[in-house]
Amino acid sequence: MSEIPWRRRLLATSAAMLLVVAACGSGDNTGGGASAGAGGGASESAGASPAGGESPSGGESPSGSGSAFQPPAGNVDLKLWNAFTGPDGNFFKQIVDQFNSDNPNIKVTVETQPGAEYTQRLEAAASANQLPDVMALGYDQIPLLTEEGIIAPLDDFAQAGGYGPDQFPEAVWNASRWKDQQMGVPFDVHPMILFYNKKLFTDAGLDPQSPPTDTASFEAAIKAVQDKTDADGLQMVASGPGANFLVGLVWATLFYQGGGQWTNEDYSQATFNSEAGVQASTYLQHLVNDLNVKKVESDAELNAFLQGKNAMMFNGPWQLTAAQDALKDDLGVALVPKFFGDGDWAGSHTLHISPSAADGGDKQAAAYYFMDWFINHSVDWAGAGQVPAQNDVRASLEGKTEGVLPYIAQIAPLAETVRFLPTIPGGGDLLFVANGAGEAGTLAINGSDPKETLDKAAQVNTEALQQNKERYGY
Amino acid sequence: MTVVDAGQPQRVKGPGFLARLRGGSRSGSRADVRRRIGERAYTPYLFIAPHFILFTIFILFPFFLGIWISVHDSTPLREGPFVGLRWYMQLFNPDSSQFPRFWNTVWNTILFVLISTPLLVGVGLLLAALLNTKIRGRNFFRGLYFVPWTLSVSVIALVWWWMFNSNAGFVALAIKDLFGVGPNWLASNPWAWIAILIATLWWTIGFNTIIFLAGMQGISADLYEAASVDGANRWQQFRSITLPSLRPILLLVITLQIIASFQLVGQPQLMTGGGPPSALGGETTPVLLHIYNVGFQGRRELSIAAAMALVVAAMMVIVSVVNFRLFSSERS
Repeated sequence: MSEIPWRRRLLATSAAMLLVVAACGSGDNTGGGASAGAGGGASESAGASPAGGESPSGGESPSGSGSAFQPPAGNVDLKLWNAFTGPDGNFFKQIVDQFNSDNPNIKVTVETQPGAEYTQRLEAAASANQLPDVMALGYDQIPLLTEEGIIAPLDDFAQAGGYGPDQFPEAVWNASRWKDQQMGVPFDVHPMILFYNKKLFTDAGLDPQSPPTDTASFEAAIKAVQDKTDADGLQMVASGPGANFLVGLVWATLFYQGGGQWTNEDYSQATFNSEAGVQASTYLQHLVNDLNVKKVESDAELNAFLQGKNAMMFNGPWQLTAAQDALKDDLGVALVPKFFGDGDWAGSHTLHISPSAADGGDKQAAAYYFMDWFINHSVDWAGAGQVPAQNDVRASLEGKTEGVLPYIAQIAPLAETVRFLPTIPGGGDLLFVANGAGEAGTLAINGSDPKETLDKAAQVNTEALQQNKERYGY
Repeated sequence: MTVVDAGQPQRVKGPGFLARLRGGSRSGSRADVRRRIGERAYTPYLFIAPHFILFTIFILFPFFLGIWISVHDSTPLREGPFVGLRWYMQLFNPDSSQFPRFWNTVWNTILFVLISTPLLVGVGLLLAALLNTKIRGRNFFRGLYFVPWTLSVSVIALVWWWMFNSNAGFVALAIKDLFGVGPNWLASNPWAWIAILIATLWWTIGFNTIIFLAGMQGISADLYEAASVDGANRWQQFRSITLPSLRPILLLVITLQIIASFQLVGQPQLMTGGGPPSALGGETTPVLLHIYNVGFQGRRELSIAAAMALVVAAMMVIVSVVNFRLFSSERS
């Protein structure tokens, strides 16, 4: 029993390394697979595919507030943890490298943790008093990690730096608060988007410039590609290590579009087995049953898309760099069609400091200076396939042509309207883990009754919600 | 074989350590207990100390900690209140939400043990018999079959994940080309189990083969010579000489294989993610993977995962005892 985590750690690390090696070695950009890592964990912070890396655009950074924080006089070493195991990890590192060379007396060392293990590793580090000074997290980890004393409040940072709700989309800003404290600062938003292959669209007699916008045009596109080309119009993830995560993104989008609510007002009852939930599961089932959409294991749909054998794919923008490498000008990106209305799954990454770094001295000064610098350079981070969270940084994307930035500019308006999972301890569990809504969606794809599976899942989640409410008091 | 140096003082069989500590040995035998230079009463304990200390830290302590966790309501950074046997009751109460998934994964594991053990033992025996013949390049093949066993599970799982990948997998595409249709290997059953079995076979067969081969080489050539003089053919020789002579080794290999198959985790974790999914969790999720998922993924319900681990440990003890009984009765 005590051996399992170690074994798994070795596994996860070597698997991730192998994927990177395999992807780099083959050079044909068919490498995929890291959403396997994201699938298991509540964190939505992982999920990028390690296929071919590219350096950041190196574009000029917008002139931010910057001056509010002063670097410390003495030398300071900062340890930073993130979970960017894909090509985005390289982008992150290069931004930090630039910081390090601009600021010789502060040395930030980045350590990348496997996404599915991230929370677990932070907890282990906390109990051994070995927490990193700065952390990049997924927003859904904030409440639990606050309760566990792993991250420290940043109210003074936000105030001194002039960061506030007026500079971020409301939902994004609020997601980094817990129990009336500012616990982190968001630096990106990543909504689910529709990837499509323009060449396959043309082959199928569709207009490559007008991607599907609603249910009718979406289903027509699937059929056209199936009928007129050898490729698939869409592939549906039905199994595999990343299934709950990847199906979860689509399920949540359909659920939001149907006006669904995850829980009741006081977070004591899971309500995703509502009409909207059943409608979401039923639609996924309909795609497989009535439109002959092929069921595949997780990441197979991604590989097929990168190889030009699959015309459409729902995924996060973190796949943009890999998709652009593979498809070049044939890559088309669109907002998710309106199946039932407006709505789209999204996540957000946030920066944090640990309680030990909040020492009021040099370490804290260095950490604050770094975080402020990083957020003001988040346009470089956008090159990794992430929408900057800050409004004026997002506005500066207009007219950018490097790398994937045109796509980011195209999807940037989504940041204004995103919805998140409830920001409570274990909020991400409602969707991504065993017995969550994503799993219920996967079961529906495999033929289970949508209502029945959702009822069962909601029951388990209600138990967990009540337990967490009691444990953490909110 | 180490040759005993006659000049060295030898430890002669005498009263045990405790008896000597108590001074209870008869004076007559005292002369026989010649001690090595510098040997003290605690010397043997110093010899086992390095292992015992590591054993205590990494096995004994975690074992008792596991029991402690399983009767509390703990999360990773919170020592929860004492809850007695609550988690155990949940595991044995058909109405609880934990019950169906846990027992389903136990069943998955048993299924894998039942299918994989005969297969891995049988194929191992067959390969060993083939490699024991005088063929050209015999040593090369012996080495070759053993090579996969030296790889880690993540490597073999990824290799076979790519082989069975529904869009680009060699095996998947080859079968599709041959038969016109092919199953979705990693996302539907029984194909997912078959894929896991093939990967496991390829990975571990070398170990069983080597053990059988060593056993076969220990069988006296005289027996085969005598048998062939009497007109026995290859098959008769295998049945009447090789198999009976291998009996103890066969039992050992079966025992080890049952334990190894029970410990299945990595292949389904990386190849199928425990899927295809079902209302009872995953169809290829073995119990150890389920325990890991419950304890360390998502909600990280440490306490009930610890209880599950102990229930599984109890099952393993029963299996081992039965095995041991069979093993020792065969010997006597």
